[in-house]
Amino acid sequence: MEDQDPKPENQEPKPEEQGGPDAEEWRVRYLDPEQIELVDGGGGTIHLLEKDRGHVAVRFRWCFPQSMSGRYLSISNMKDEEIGVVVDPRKLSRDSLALAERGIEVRYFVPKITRFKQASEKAGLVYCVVETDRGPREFSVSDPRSHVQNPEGERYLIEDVHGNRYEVEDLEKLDERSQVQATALV
Amino acid sequence: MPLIEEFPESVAAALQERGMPTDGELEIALESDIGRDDRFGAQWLLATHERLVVVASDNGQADVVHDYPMSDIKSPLADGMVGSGVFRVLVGGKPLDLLRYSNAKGKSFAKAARKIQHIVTEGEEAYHEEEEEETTCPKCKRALPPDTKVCPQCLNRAKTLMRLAKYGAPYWKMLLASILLMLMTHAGDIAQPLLMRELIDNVLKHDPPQPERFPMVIGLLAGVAVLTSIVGFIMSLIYPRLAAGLTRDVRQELYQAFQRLGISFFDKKQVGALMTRITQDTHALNGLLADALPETIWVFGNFFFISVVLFALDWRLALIALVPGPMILYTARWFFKRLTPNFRRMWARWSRFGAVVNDSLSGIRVVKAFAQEKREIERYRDRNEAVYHSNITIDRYFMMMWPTIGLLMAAGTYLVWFLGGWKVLEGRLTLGTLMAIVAYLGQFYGPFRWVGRLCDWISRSLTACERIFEVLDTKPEVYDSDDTVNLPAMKGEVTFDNLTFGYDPNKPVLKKINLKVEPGEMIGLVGPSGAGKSTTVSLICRFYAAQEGALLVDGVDIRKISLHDLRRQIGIVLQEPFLFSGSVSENISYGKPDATTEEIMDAAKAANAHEFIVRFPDGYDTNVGERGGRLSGGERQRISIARAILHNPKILILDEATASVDTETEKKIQDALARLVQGRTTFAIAHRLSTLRNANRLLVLENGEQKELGTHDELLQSDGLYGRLVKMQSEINQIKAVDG
Repeated sequence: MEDQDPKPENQEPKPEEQGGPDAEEWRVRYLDPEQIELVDGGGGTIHLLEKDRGHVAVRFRWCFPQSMSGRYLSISNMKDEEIGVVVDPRKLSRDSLALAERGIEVRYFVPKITRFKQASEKAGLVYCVVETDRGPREFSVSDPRSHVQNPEGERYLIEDVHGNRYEVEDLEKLDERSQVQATALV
Repeated sequence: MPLIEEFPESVAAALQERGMPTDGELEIALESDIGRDDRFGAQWLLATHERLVVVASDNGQADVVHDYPMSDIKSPLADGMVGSGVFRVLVGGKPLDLLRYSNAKGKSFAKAARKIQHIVTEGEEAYHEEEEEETTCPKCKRALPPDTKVCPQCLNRAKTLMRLAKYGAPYWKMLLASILLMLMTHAGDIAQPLLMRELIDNVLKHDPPQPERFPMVIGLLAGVAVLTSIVGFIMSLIYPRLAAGLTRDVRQELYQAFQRLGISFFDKKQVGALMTRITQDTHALNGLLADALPETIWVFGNFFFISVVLFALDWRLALIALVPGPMILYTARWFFKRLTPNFRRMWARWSRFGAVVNDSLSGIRVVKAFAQEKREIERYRDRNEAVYHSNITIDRYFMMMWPTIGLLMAAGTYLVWFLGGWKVLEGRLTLGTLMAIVAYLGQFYGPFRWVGRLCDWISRSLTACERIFEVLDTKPEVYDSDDTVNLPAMKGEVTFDNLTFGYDPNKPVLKKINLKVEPGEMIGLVGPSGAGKSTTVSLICRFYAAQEGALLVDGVDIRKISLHDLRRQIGIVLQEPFLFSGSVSENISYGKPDATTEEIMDAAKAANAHEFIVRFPDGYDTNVGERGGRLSGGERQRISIARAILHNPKILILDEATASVDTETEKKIQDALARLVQGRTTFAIAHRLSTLRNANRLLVLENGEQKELGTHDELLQSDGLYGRLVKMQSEINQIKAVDG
């Protein structure tokens, strides 16, 4: 694509004036939350209804689960092909939002640690005994440097040796003993 | 590396006998270090525009071995062998070995060959005078360590320290405070034995007894001890901040200097060596500032003050105390001199041990496939034994050193006890004074023990500093000059105008390339390995500059275009995509940090990457690991393509990946590339026939020369080099298909 008019110097070119992929099929499809509806399909499934079509047993994924949790929700069909992305799911209807949250919970099982009862390191493994919002738990973490993420501030994501995940929403809000114990990990 | 070296009188006489000039007309006068008899000796290669002469020089005598008119000489060649080289020419069409030289002279004779070729072709073959990398120190002539011009033998320690001191300027207050606190600590250390003397002589042994003074002196002793500790504590708060802050500043400046250097700097150095400067050399600097320097100042300061006090207390005993000093010094140096090479040996053995472990465990499949477990175990045993022996040697030296030094110190102490004791018994010296002197002795002998180690430590640390300064002093890449042209909105027309380039200017890798590329056109670069394809794209990115001819963008010489404008509008997709440690979205938006979320996702979608990214547990927040190590090759490729799409360049460099992926992934990558190149002027180093067919034109290179230019169909019809390459590729693909 060529510039039609000569531009004065120092003017930055606009992206659309340069070459590049701009066809609709090459862009992410954004779903208008006010134009779609989620319905309970029974048996744990959730269906998506658009104006002109429906999708059975859809799946939900956050595009940015750590940095922008709560925004950019990707919805895929049964074949795992993306139907589209809802930028702000809070704009869904109340029932649809509730179903979306249910679907997200199925996808993301990340207990929040409320207390560290023990976190001790031995031979490269950190053995943890914790209380979570889903009950007590014991797990081991290998190589904390690679398996403990710190997305922001005092929020931590921990992955154990089995790939299970746990979240510390705010380390500073835990009791003092928990904070001391957690130093074996973070 | 000059081509004219100073030659002896005997050689000059030999030349004059032959009527050859010995001055300005000489173009080459080089000494080789292998004689006629193939032993180390001297032969000289001398040349003017008219004649080429070889003179053997032995013990003040010189004989002319070869003498030919330059017009008879063809194809001069400095032919490298193993450990030596041969200077060969064609004379009357027949090859003739003129002389031999060792590898130390290889570069000089290679340059001489190019010079002679320039002369015999009457300037048709270009010759460029260029500064070559020094490999020997110009001062002491010893070989320089690799990847640096800092000679550890000639290092001017004082100069380096002075330069380092300038970095301390912002911390002058902390420095002053540290010095004052150090002096206070010295004062405390010196005061305590003196107070002890006071306690013994004037309180405990005083006649009549003075019990009322007892608590006061004890209190003073305790007070001084507490104060010294407090001062030491305050120093521990201040000094580490000073040392760490200074190191941080140097490290920051060093990294900034690296970012500003041109690509040619990185070509000449290994990445590992450069990383050593940022990590180990700055760590050594920190060690120097935080440990070695303060310890040295402390140790020698202590020695000075204590010497003064000792001599003031009893100069005869002070002299006696000095007796073991030189012996302790000599002993310490003797041991450290032997320990240092043993430490090096130990590190080398440990490194080889690590290499064996790394090799065999990384290649465990190969080990097992070839049933070589026993052999690997034996290899490991050998290296393990070597480490064991090194450990023993080092420990043995340490075990011998400390008791020996301890014995010498004890000897000095007992000598002082003996002679001092007599003086006390004879009433010529008080007991308190003797006790004070003995108390000082431990601190007094300390410096002798550490001098050997400290000198070596400081020397190595200062060498590390100089390597850091070497990078800081290297000229940065020139971004813009006075006649820079701003080109913020390129059309993308690229013209190669009789362009010639070589990384070594006398060895061109691209010769007289002529090509005009219209905006939006896709040019496939084809040719055998080493043809000059990668070099061509490096020139477009202005990583290097051509020696002859020009490269124009939109009619403007690329050297004049604002580097910022140029690089902002050029996108690269490398053969081996490089991703930085960070999230997927950070990598995609690397060239456009202010990209919106939608732009990032659209770029990923266009690169056929969005689907697999969203499937990751952390989606776009997924950490790709070091160099994208957590992703597969196909995934890295597509993220790299997404990055280029988002960058939205006007000129695209595409170095096609050769790594094979499954068919479906291959299709996705090809589709993504097809979208990427649309509307952009593209230079693709292509390996796949599909890419070559899609190119508007193909430039076929061989040995840096432009052989063919045309469309795929045109070149196939002309049945030239391209036709043969395509045929070969097809045959290989057929074989692969048959083998399944």
